[in-house]
Amino acid sequence: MYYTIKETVAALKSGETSSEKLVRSSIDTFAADQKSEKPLNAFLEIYEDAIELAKACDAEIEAARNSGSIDSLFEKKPLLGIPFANKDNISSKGHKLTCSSKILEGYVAPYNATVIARLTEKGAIPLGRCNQDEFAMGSSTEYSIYGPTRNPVNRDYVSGGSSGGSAAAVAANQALFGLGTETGGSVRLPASYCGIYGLKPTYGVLSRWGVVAYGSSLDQVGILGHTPQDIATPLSLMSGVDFYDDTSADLPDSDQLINLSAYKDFSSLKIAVPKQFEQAKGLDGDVKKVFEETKAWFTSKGAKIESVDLPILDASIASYYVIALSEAASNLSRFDGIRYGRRVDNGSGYDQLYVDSRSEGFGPEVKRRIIIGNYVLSEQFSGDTYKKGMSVRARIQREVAKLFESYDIILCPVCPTPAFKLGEKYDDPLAMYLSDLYTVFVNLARIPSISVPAGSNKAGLPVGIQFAGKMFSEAKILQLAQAWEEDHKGCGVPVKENV
Amino acid sequence: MAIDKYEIVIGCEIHTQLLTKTKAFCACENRYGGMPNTRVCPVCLGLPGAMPRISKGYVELGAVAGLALNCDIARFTKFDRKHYFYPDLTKGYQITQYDVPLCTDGYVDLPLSHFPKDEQIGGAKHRPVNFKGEPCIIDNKYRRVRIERIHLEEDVGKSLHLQGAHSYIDYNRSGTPLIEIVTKPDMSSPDEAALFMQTVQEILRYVKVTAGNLEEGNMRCDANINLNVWEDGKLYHTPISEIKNLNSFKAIREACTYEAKRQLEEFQNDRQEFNAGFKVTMGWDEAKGQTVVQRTKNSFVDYRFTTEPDIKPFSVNEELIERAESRVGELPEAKRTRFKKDYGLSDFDVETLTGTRELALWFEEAAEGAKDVKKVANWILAELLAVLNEKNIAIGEVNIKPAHITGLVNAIADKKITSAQGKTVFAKMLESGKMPEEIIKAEGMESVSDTGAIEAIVDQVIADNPKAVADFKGGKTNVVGWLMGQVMKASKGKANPGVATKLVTEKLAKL
Repeated sequence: MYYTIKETVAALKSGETSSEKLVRSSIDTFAADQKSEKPLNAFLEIYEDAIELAKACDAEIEAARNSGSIDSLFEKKPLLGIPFANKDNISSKGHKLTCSSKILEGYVAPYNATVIARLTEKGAIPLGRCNQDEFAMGSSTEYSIYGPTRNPVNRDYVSGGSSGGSAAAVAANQALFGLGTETGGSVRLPASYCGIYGLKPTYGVLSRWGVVAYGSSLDQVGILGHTPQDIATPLSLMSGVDFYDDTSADLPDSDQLINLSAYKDFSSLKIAVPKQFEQAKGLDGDVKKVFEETKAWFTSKGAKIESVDLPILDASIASYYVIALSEAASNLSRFDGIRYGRRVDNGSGYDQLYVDSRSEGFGPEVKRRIIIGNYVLSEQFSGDTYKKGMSVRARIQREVAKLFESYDIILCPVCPTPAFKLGEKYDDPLAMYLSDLYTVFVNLARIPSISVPAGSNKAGLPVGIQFAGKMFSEAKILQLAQAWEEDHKGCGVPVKENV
Repeated sequence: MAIDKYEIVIGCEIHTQLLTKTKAFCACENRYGGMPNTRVCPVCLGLPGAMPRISKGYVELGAVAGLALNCDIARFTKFDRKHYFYPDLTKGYQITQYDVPLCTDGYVDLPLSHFPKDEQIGGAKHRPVNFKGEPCIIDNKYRRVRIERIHLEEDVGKSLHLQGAHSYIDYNRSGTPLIEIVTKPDMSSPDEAALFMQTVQEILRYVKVTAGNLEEGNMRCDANINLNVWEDGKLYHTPISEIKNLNSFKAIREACTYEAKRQLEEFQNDRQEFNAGFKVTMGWDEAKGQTVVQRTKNSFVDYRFTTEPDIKPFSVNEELIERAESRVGELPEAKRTRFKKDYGLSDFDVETLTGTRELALWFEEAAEGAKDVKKVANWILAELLAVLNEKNIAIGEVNIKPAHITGLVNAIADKKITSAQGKTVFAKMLESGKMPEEIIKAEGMESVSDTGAIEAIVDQVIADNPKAVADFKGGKTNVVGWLMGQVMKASKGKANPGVATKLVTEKLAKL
């Protein structure tokens, strides 16, 4: 089995493996997993056309091999024949799209998300859709109508969320890389829990067209992979302004991503560690230990680490939930049972149809967030709470940007604790919300951040540390991650399963 | 208790569909009608993951409307979301502009001459002051209605409630670009409200912002109406009613008239009074001639406005404003005033000639270089418009150019042809598109003014008619006319009548 895109491409070129073999192996693993006692439940389905697409890629590769144009073929299509895991909230034409929600029962996406279109243009194969928290609302992938996704490291533990399915699929080597989405940490958190790399790019770098919206001003597609290069390659191929997304932006330096080099200039690297995070209540001892080790690594390379005071960060969770939930309430208004998805109609008019369709269609966590969001937006109940949330957010963005005038990255854990046991926080939404403490400021500030597999706790559960950079500094934080990867070879490769 | 007097207070919200090529936020064609649900896409259907993007020309057309209605244009603005549930609304919210509208602080001046003679219609005078007591008569000629704001928003689909248990929805209209024009409550009669709508329609059609067809729903008016009632010297305000979707001038007039009367009765019976923030939403039942309550005043609608996060806030740059300004140009009322002054035309003629911008421009082009402008107007009004009506075509589609009419008028003024011949030339111009001079020549209509040529004919006629000459000498001077007839006949109508008459008279006198 191959662990990285680079290895796999080499094997595809030489004919040592085929795209069909890769897809078949995923299908077999998926089938076996479904029958197991504690199913991983990472994939919800393998797309029916994946095998056909793989065969087509193989034919293309073979023809090029025979005509001696194999290198130029892979230059044009760097991901030719590479299967990837999609999340159940990213539209892939002709395939089911449910956001792990009952309300989208039966909905088939009639068009491709830009990220899917750009990846398939470069030869990649959408392998299937992965589990998630319903509408990406959650931190454990337990709030799904399909049941939880287990952690491949230890199946009694959660995979993290909301992109837990994609993260577990990559970590368990069912796919070479995966797409997730973030609103407040939904890629970095499961990456951290599952022991792989996970990137949340700068807001706008990856088009949101075709991605089901949760909190539009925070949402961003993210990438999960075994190595920084496995993230950098798809990122460079998907990024850039998209006509269909007004908020999209170009990524400068994306040429540096094709062959990612390790960051070298450590002596001039200045790292900020916010006091507000160091002193946070509930920071697990093992996580703290891994964090100190990471800092020590940076220091040993010659970097300067300083503790900084950024009091506004204390307001980030509050600001985040005000904005995310308001936008969620707005974005989820379209799921009304009128045009698509699940409709519950007892024949007493459309008002009742809305109430019944939405009451039955949405799970408890989604309802909770819609209700809070609408409460916040209601001038009658909450006055100008929404506006205040927005202005706090603007201040966070400003102050974080200012910090980056003096520092290259912000270093902090991804989560105060490693993965928790299934069901442990299911009925404690507030505890669940607090696990977002270290992640949401990144989304509020629109900056990129990568979760790096930095170690594990005593029980062997992975712990992730994040490198966050200023807007559009993806190349730099990926190069730093590459330096980390070279000093900690294989820290993000698939886990040995305990099945 | 006795009611001393009352005044009607009306403010309007006019939804106007814009003439963009595509819908507001997607590439679907912006057109009326068609097979239901054939002009839809993920964006205007509100499918999961679909995002709006501002269509080309949408903001500019909004700015054209704003400038034509004397508004200030915001240099930086944004879109917002207004939330409510209704089956014809695909996303559960409408994209609109909330706190930073594109246009603010405009006005429309309504000519006093267009108000009904009976100022008491509707039970109230057209007061010389607005509802705040500020003077609103301009130059003794106009009553000013102020515009609070004009904002951009998208239209919703259409629900069709047919017989039986089912309703159907056509989303072809979903996402059609609109502007909403919101006035101050400056109108004081149903007639004024209707006149306002009519004036706005004329202006916005003139500047090509909208097709303005009320029957196709291009323009819909919501009228907000209440009364100021003085009873025993004390002033009361009645609750505001909002009458939704009035789609004809007649409906505006009749609905407001009915509602004013109803409110007065309600006040007398129940003493209902105005309560800030609450209003009754009503519909107009045209068949019954009644307003019908749709939502009561007790239900407070909370639209939960948010910024539209999928569209970046945007600047309205100077180039856009300049382009919009050039598209506004001279508006109908200014044009009318100028036509009367410059061309000395009658009110009625001016009214018709300025009916559309194209016709007015056509006329002006024809008048340029014409020796008789009134004749130009006559040819257009009496002949050309009749042809347009008959063929049901626009002025731009007709076979001739303004220069044709200029040439025709000048040929007659120069006595090259007679007015009667002019009609023939006109018909032939329309048929062939040839210039009048060319037709006159080809048809051999041009009159001969060459004295030598006419003299020969005159001599011949005198020589051929000794009896007539004898009669002339005998004192029968009326033979001159008969001889003239013979000259014209001999010249096949081409002899210049003035030259011929002079010659005949001179020759006879010399005999």
